[in-house]
This record gives sequence, structure tokens and C-alpha cells, in this order.
Amino acid sequence: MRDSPQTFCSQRVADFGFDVQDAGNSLSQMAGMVGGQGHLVRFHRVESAARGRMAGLAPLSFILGPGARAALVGPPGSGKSLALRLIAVGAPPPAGTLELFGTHVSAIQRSRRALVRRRLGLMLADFPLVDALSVIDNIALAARAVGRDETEFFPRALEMLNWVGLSARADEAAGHLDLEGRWRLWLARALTNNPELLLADEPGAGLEEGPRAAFFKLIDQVHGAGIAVIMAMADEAQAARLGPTIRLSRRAGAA
Amino acid sequence: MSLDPRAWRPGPLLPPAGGAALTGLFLGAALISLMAVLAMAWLSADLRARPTLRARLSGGATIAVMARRTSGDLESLDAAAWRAREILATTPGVASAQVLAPAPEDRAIAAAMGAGAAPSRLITLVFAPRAAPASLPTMGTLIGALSREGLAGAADDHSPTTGPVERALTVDGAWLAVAGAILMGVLAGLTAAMIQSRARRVAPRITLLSGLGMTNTALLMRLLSPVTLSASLALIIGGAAALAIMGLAAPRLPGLAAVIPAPGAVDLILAAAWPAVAILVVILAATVVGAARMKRLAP
Repeated sequence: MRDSPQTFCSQRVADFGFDVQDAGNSLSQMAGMVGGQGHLVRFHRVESAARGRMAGLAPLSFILGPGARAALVGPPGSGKSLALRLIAVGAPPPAGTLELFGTHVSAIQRSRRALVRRRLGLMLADFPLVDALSVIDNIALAARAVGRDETEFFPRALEMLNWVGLSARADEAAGHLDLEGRWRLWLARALTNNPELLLADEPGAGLEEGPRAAFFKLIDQVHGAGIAVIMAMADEAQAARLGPTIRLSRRAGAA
Repeated sequence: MSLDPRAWRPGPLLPPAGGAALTGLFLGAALISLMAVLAMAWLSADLRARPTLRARLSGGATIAVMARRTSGDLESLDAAAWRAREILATTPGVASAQVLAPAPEDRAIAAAMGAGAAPSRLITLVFAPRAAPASLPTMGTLIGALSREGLAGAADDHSPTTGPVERALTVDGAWLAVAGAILMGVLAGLTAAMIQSRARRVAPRITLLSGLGMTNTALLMRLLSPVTLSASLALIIGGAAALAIMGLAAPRLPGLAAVIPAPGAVDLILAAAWPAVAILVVILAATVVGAARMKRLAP
């Protein structure tokens, strides 16, 4: 591959001065601690009250270094998805301190949040696939959103599709894909713009054991390429097999 | 691989604007533009026609010279008219006096009943334009001058009609300003509704593209451009249509052109400015509404 995930992520991690292998373990050591330079995400007593159907978030603190992987685990309503969304939105949380890429989010102007999001790969319900568009157009959407030229991103898009095993279905409508294909396309789209951090909400949800395992192998490869990964997972056993976990509990007073 | 990279063309980032909605805006904007331009033309006619007619009406009079049947040696009406012209032309305050050719109906009467049967002959007077109003001759003065020379006549003073004519031609500037503001308000409201409708339709895509890293400015441009472009096109077409009507059709209507001056270059420039103002209104309204929507849609 001309520009594989391994290639570009190794370069990026080297730029941060972190070792990829150590970064994966640093999470459990740093979780709950304050401080640290060069971290991708820092939550310090971030919390949010429940609003409508949106679950609340009990005070949460953790630090995620470059290339690290972690799973947010907890019962339904504990705010796992909300925590990911707070990162994706990049807006100041209702309470506590949130830093992204070493910058306090309150210092990021609203007009520049999109630029910060270019460093994220999102697999969140708020940012779904577009069923009416073809598989390749879904990938193209991510590249064109950041202003990349067609000639530049097309080879990259084909490469990503080849990696997730969808190259033969590139011109099919995304809505025609089965669940496994959709998860794979979602992952490919999330990685199209070479993110530093992948956010995945319940990745592989709804898949049978075999396809699910194959999908997590792809995520393993992403992490192995040096891309940091945060997942929200309800299945604690599965999460524990994947790596460090951050346990969330329901906010006091939540239903 | 089934995909041909050379044949592949990416689809639009945002779904296209609805055709029906755009047609509505197009027609609405064209109509509003046309109305605005015609209102401007009316104002222009008011500004130019009213002073012109006022000058014409207050600057002259018409004298009807009648044959004197009481005298023993009946003077012909023509001779009386030309004699009256000489008298009136030398009256202080009169710049010129012209005997008008007999009207068609007078010629018909003269042909049927003899030259002396025609009731009168008209003389138009133009008063000295720079003379002080007090120094201008009154109708009594003019008739008296004729009477002293044995001529009978009746004066048709135009000046009393100046007021009603002026009032008829007056278009209240304040009302026109209100009408213009209402038109622009309707245009802005229509634009805002279009942007709101489009934003609702493409809301999930805007949220997605923002999440994928597209800036709000780029998104706003994508959101606004179909509406503002179609509205601008509609306004330009509407303005051009109005200009064509004013510039080409009006001068060819002889009756209208005689009363209201044919549009001049100034009128056309003023009329052409309306679509430009309307386009600015559309862009401003679209930007304000679009930016407000973007704040809600883009995370």
C-alpha cells in the first residue's frame, strides 16, 4: 500500500515523541491523573446532567496518550456515548475540564472546532453513513469535507476500501450493504482523513461472533498502526479482551 | 473492480435544493423585482413629469377669439384671430402667441355652414418664463386688451388646473418608501423561508459534514449558494424584463409618452439599481438565517 495506516501513524506518533507500544499501556497508569503533555484527550472531572433522552455523565477523569487504546464500559445510561460525543463536538463540557490534543476546548473557537475534528475518526450515531450515496461516495464525503482534491483522495479511498474488503462493492449504494459491510465502510470512512484518534460507539454491535471478531481485527490493525482508539462498549468482557477499560457508573439520581 | 476511476464523479456534498421551492423563489423574486422596478419607474415619472407639466400649465394660456356678429361689417374669424395675436403678442409678460390651425370639427362646421359659422379660433400664449408672477398678465387684462380693439374672446387659464394635475401625478415618497421596504421585506422573508426549509432538509448532512471536519464557512456557502444564486438570477431577469418594458415599449405608446416623459437614462439607471439592492437583501437575509441555523446544526 502506498500510504497504509501503519505508515502514516508511525510517522505521527514519532512526531509526538511517544513510543507506540508504551502508549497503549500508559492509559491505565494515567487514568484518573491530572497533567501530562502531548496527550490526545484529557478528562478532568467532566460531568453532565441528563437531558431528555440523553444520559448524564458522572464525574469522569482520564488521560489518553497518542496511540493508546481504551474502552469506556458501563451500564446503559452511564454516559459512555456522551463522553465520546463530548470529544467529537469539542465544546466545553457542562462541568469539568476537557482537553483535546493538548488544548483546553474552551480555548478552541467555535469556527475552529471543525479543524480539530479533522484529527478524529468518528464512528458515532450522530455521524452515520449516507445510505443514498455509494460506498465510494461515502468515503469521498469525508475527504471532500476537508477540501481534499479528488485525484489526491481517490487512490486513498480505494486503498481503504480494499483494506476493509469492500473494493468490489465500491459503486453500490451504502444502503444495500449488510450490517458487516456497513461497519467496515464506517471504519474506512473514519480513517480516510488519517485521524490521530478513532472514536467508536459500540463498534461491531449487532454482528455475529465471526464477523465481529473479524471487525475487531481491523480495529486491532488500526491501533497497531498507531492510531489511538476510544470505544464505548456495553460488553465488559469483550472490552477487557481488547485492552484497558475505563469504568463508568450511572450518575447519582439517574433513572 | 467494477468501479471505473476515470468515469467516477462525486455527487454533491449537500443534496440539491428542491426544484419546486426554487421555482417558487424564482417566480416570487422575479415578480417582486418587476414590481420594484416599475415602482421606481413610477417615482421617476412623478419626479420628472410633474415639474414638466406644472411648467407647461402655469406658463401659458389659451385664448379663444370669437367672431363678432354684432358689427355691421363682419370680420372674418381668421382676420380677427390674427389681429388678436398681434395684440396679445405685444401685451407685457407674453413671450409668444400662436394662432392654432382650426380643429377638425371647426373645419367641418366651416365647410358645411360657411367660414363665419366656426365658433372660435384658438391662440396659445406662452408667458415670459423668467417673469415674476406679479408681472404676468391676468386673464382679465388679456380679454380687456382684446375688447378695447373690438375683439371678443374668452380666456382659458391653465393655471387653476395645475393643482389637480399635480396632485394626480404626485406619488407620495413616503408611501413609496414603505412599499419598497415591504417588497424588500417580502423578499427577505421568502429567502429566509427558503434557507430554513433547505436547512431542515439537509440538517443531517450538515451535521455529518461538520463532524467530518468541514468548516462552518464552507458549509454555509454550500447551504446558501443554490438559493442566493437562483434568487439573484430571478432578480436580474425580473429587472431586465422591466427595463425592456420601460426602454422599448413605453416610448412606442404615443398617448402615454405624451403625458409621462419617456424613460431616460437616469430612470433606467435608477431602475437597474433595484435588482442590485434586492440581491444584496437576499444575500444578507440568507446569510443571517443560514448562520443562525448553522450554529444549531454544526456541532
